[in-house]
Amino acid sequence: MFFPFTLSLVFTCGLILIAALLALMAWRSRNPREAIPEDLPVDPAYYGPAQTNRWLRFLRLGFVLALMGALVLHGYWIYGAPGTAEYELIAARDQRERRLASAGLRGWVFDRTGSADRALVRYRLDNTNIVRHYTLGEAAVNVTGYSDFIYGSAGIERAYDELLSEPASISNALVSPAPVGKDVQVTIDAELQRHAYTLLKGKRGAAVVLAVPSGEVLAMASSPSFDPSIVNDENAWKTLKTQAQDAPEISPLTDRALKTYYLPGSTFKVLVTIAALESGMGGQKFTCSGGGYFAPNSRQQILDDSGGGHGQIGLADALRVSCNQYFAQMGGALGTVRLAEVARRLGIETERSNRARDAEFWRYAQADRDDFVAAFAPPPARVVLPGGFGKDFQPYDLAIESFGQGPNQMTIIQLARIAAAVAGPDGRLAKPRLEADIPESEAPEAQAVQVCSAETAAAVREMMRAVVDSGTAAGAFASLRGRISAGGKTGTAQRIVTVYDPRTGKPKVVKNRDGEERVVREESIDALFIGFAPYENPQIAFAMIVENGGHGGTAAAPIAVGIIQKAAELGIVTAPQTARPPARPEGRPAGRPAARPATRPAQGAR
Amino acid sequence: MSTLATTGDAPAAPAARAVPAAERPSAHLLFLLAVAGLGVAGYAAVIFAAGLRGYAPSLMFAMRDLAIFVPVFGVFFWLARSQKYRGTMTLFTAALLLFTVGMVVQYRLFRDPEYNVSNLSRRREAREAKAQFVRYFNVRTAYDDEKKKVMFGSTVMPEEPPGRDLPVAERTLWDLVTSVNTYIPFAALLAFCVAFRFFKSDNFLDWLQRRALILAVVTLLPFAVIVLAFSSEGKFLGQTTPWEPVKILFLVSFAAMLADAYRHLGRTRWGVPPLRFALPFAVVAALPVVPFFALSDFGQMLVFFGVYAALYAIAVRKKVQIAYAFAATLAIGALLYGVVGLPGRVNLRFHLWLHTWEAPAEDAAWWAPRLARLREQYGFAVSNEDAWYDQSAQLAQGLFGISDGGLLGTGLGLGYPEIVPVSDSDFIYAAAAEELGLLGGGMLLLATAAIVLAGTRIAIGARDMFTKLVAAGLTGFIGFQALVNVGGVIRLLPMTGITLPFVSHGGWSLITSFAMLGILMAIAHRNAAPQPAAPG
Repeated sequence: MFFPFTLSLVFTCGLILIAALLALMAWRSRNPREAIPEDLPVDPAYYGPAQTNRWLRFLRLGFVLALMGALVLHGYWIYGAPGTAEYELIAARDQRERRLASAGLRGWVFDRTGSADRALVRYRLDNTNIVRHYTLGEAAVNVTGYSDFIYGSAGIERAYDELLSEPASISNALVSPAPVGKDVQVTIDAELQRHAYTLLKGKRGAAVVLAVPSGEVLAMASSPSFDPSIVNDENAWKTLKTQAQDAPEISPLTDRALKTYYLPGSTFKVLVTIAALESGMGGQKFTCSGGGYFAPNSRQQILDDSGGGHGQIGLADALRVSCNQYFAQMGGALGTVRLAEVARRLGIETERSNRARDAEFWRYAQADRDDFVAAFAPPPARVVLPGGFGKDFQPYDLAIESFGQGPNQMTIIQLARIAAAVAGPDGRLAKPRLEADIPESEAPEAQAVQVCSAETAAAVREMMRAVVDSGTAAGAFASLRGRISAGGKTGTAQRIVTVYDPRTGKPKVVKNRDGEERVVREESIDALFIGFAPYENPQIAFAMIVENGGHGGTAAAPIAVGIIQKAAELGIVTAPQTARPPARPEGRPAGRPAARPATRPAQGAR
Repeated sequence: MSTLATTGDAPAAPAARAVPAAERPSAHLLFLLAVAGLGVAGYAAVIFAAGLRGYAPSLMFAMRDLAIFVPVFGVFFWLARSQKYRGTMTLFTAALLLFTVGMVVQYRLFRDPEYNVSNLSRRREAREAKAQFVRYFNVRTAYDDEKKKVMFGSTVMPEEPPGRDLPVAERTLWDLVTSVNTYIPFAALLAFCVAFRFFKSDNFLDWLQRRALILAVVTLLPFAVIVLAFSSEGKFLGQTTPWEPVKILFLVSFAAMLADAYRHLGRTRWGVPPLRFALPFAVVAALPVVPFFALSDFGQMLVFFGVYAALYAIAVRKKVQIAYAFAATLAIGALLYGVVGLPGRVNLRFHLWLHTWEAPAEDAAWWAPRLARLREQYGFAVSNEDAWYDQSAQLAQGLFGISDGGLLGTGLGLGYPEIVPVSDSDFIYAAAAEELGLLGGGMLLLATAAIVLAGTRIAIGARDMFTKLVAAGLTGFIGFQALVNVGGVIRLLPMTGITLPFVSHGGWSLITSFAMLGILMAIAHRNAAPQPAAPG
């Protein structure tokens, strides 16, 4: 590239030649000779050479000015136009970018290990062609995204588009017509991601695994999914797109981990528990009766799943058995202000806002802001907690919100953050991140937020452990017992959803007696689970959902168990000294994770 | 009829002025050698770049193109020695430079297998092959062993990068011998020599001026027949435009008629010349426009109108007439616009020019039928925006190319002018600007300016009205054409589909341009002849 470019520059030296020619001409024209037409007419004053030639000179001047104007306009397209709003709007149509990208090699996307054979996005040889390859395929398409010039790009391909196509080395940029792009390393663990997706496969749902306390996303799976290579198949892609518009609830293009609102169900009780402990109301007991609980000024009955009541019950037990009536009353006792404070610290919106996406959700350093936001900014999790009660917010609303029903809108990654807040050693919650190796920053928005005191966090962990040991998730976690301890909270949320015809993929419609068509809606019971592991020194926090899966303890908790096991196999989760089988040699400091540098104080076993 | 001065009977001619040093042929020989050197550098750049991008341009064809410099030097010596040429050489050098740039850019485009195949799937194949070649190159040179191992199972690269030798339309010796492109530059130089030889002669000029009217009619008739009977979409027998040279004849006859009549036309009452002279003149002058109208070659019409108007202004110089003409043009334009409305094509060009990026309203009267036709063509209801995107693609991609080219350009062979349709001809300025940058564009514009400046100088120095008008007209022709072409590419003017003289690919237009050059230089030669004393 360097050599032919230099030759081209030599070629452009023709400009000097022209300049010399023009100079020569100017020099020759110092004293122009005006020929007199021999066929001069009667009126030489009017038809003489001076008059005729004046017009010629005038036209010449106009013409040369026009040519120079063309040159100026040429310059405008280089220096003036790019950067104007109008031009930026259409610059994406420049097919050159497309050619460059299709010829060049974008950077690879490495997972957290940084090893080439576990790269999430790389190149491979397909027959004799070198093609971009998404190694995890459909298991990670919501993370890696895809890249296509007609259909756009998504995920990391979108968020790090600039970096991935920015020349990686000067020497390569000098010799290659389409330089090699820079590699990106993300915090995803390829194996854990694949496993999380495997656990979800065949269901509709999502799972998010965060590293504690760094906030690194270790896995973020969404099911159903699609293979990114489908973008090359025009018809298949169009079908997918149409479906995503007609039936987003069942579309594989829907990112269920990051961008879909769900009701949190009982997992929300963890937030209420934090608020209760922070307010010094941890010792409060409420009565849970078989007849149900009625919020003030409300005639609507709040019942428990089990049907019967739990009687007089305390916070720890209420969380363990997931007592709705207790948390309905606790929510009322705490009031909106205290709950809203905790919610805000967790990054949850408590007021109605028009923000469609939470642009401040992530921490990242290398990505272009607009691109990153377009690819990964989730809709903001919301819980309606106005300052006081009114017509559209009654004590009943607060009561049902407190156990995760009502107008709550949560994303799965936000639920994972609730778990991460209590799993952290000191009650602090860091912003989640996907990008590996973000330099430490002093900026306030980069700092972890103190959600609760270390004591509160420890107490909530203790209670969540009871859920797993003897509460609503005890059955699912039985297989882990004695090996890795964990804490968690089940959730079961009722939603009314549209029913789709499995054949056509269109909403199912019935006709009523008048012949009017009505879309069939039915109740979906979503199973949720949030938690952390290991109990003694939490290293991961997670949240998962299985849509219409039934009870959280039976449908979602087993996925958590699978993830914990896999994380342990991969060395992401290391059991502390005391939990180890006695055969293993001792001596390593307790709780020090093997896979990552210990940047946080070890959380000792007790 | 006017009489033409002949150098022979000039009374007491003053001693011919000494030729300035810089105007000696030897100086221009150096310039021409430099142009040839640039050409070689340009071809070398294209060939090297092609090697990087994965296709092998034919050296044989490069040689063929560069071989034109042999007759170029031949013509130069013929001019200097045999013809004892006395005028300026600037025209020749500048035109040669333009021609060289055009040749290099065309070589770069036509050796690119992606540009030089008509079949769409072959084109895609070529594009993909080029991309793969670069990928192999990148992997080989920039990837570390770890990555190679993951990709290939070992650190050894698989051998063959695919599709290295993609066929282009012309590649064998037989293609070279049979290609018309091999002979066009020679034909152009021949046309130059013939034109120079003829227009140098007083007898010929005299003869020409006397028979201007007959000449115009004789030219017009067969031309009109050919155009009306055989042409389709402004092209004759495929891709040729054999009527290009008739432009010269029209222009010469117009100049002759004007040189004959200008004194009468200048004698005006309220700005109106005596109808006895004005009417036949106007009719004859307007005639050549008719066939171009039939060809719907609006760009050509524009150039004709512009040149005719300029010549009239130079010869007659009545400000009030110019005002009339201006008002009449406006009135006729407004009337046409009000009654008939602009033709769809003109509307399209104007919308393209003024609102390149915005699709017109779907139900706009001029756009709706076009859109319907496009939809029929595509076979599905393409959206209004997408349809417009297709319509504006050429202009838009050309502008992106100019923008990406920057000051220095991407380097020959290293940009993507192959994206822009017909970038060898109408959009050659965009191709040159992308790969040679603002400097390359400036080179083309300045060389054109040099031709115009030298041409005007010739007109200023002309010894009689006829040659003065011919020189001014030809100069205006070349200059206007360049301005309309470049202006269309960079959105200074609406796009017209006119070629860039000396640069664009195109047989007849190149031959015509060189013939014009020959005439201009013949007049320059006459001007420099020893001069008779000025009367009065």
